[in-house]
Amino acid sequence: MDQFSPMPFASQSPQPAPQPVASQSATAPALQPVPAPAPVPQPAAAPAPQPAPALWCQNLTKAYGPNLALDRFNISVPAGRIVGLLGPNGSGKTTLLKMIAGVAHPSEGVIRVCGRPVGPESKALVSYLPERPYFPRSMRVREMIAYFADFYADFDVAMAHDMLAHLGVDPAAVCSALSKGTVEKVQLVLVMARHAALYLLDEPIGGVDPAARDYILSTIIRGYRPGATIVLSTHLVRDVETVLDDFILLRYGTMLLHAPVAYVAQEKGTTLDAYFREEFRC
Amino acid sequence: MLGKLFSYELRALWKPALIMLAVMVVAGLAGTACLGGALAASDAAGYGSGYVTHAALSANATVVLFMGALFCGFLVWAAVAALYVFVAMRFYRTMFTDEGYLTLTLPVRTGTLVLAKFWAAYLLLAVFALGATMLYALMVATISGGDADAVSGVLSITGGWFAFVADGDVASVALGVVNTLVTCAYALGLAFGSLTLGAWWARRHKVAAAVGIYLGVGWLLSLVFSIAGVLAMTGDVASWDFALAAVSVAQLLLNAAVAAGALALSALLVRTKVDLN
Repeated sequence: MDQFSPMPFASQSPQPAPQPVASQSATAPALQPVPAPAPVPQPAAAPAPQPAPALWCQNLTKAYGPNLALDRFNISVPAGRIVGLLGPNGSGKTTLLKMIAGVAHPSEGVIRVCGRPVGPESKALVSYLPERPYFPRSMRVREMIAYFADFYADFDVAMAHDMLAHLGVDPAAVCSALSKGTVEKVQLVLVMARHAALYLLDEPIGGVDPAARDYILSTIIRGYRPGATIVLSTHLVRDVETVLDDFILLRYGTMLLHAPVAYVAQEKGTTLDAYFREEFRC
Repeated sequence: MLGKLFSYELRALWKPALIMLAVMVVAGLAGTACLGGALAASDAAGYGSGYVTHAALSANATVVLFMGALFCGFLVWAAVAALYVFVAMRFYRTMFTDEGYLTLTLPVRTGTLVLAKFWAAYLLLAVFALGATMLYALMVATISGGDADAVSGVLSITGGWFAFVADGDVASVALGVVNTLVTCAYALGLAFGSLTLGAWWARRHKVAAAVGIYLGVGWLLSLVFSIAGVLAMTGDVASWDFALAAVSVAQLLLNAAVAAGALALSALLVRTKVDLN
């Protein structure tokens, strides 16, 4: 938490104190803008080889016709951070995750996952949880596990069964017989049972009960994956702020702020949830 | 990875395909039985044992059995059409709806994904199309009293324009089989390409857009070769047989090219343009 580096993470050098990074956007009057765009990381030019950031985006833009879902988004996430993607509806959170996962395509800009462009190689490194159920309803849970084990070399079958047992999900159950919340649990388990370099979780706890939320956040995300790099989007800020290292505030496709969670407490004297509510008050 | 994807596709397709295949085979055999019955009824009515003649249709039993055979013949091709629609819609569902999140996040090239789906669907469609042709040949064999020329004539009909110059020999039957196999590839390629274009272009009603593209392109290609065939038959050519055979081979090659092109386009669009909702 105290190792926050301002965006972009062109180097891994620790910062003396948490520093927020704001975008050039005029929509964040309370924040200090940063005029310089994110430089492209050049591992080969560095005196000592630096590990590529787990996620790096430059000038990432997505337009749907005349509407900009994401506007010149820059970010660098070093390995091992848990980053919360926060913002009101329509702020571009899901679009961003989709583009990183490779199921949507940028209008402009560059994405690198551990230094690799989006493609088969990056997909082998990314474990993505979409915001919606995406399994065929006729599949059984154990068939889903077999499917993941077949296609992802980093999938841990024993860990998946262990997580399912803790969540009380029967591996023999057919997907169509499961409740919406249980399907979400199963999907999260499958995604988190991979030893991926980057986890993208879109609303991972939106449809599950509060008790399961605690288990998911404390055990699955923190417990099973202590050193994982996770980018998760959610509206349940209060629930997730205890597990986050950093957060990104998005509004209308523009990044307002990228800062460590500690920044809010130190500079604003409040919680992330309260800060979010204040920033996006209707 | 292609083999693994192919295996998963076949596993997903075989159960519904088996049901459709059972319907097709039962319909084909029932149609054959109906024709046999119609001939027997015709014999009993004293109209002779040759082809079912216009006069034989006056016998009620013959009419009913003959109509039953026609219905069964329709069912045979309906089963092929049902499989075709099923595999095309599975392609759409697994690539461009919510299930696409599962498919398109796999660590494989989009070309491999499209090819695996194509080969699994193609294998089944080819089996169905050839099976249906054989069932028709069986019906013709029944109604013609086992006339080999009639049977090979039916088989050579599947050779497109070449059927007009075919005389039911082995070469024309072989060309008919090849043409059937290429037509299956063409139909699947065009369907996959149209569905991908629809998913990319249309903001809403993507399947309807795909159907429009499919019908438009299919109609245009058919029109071109219909005109070419008629010109070959009516034009001032040294040899009609040669001209029709040339048109037939050209159509065969173009169909193969359309199938390959549509699949390549499909893979390219999925990799670079199509966004999941």
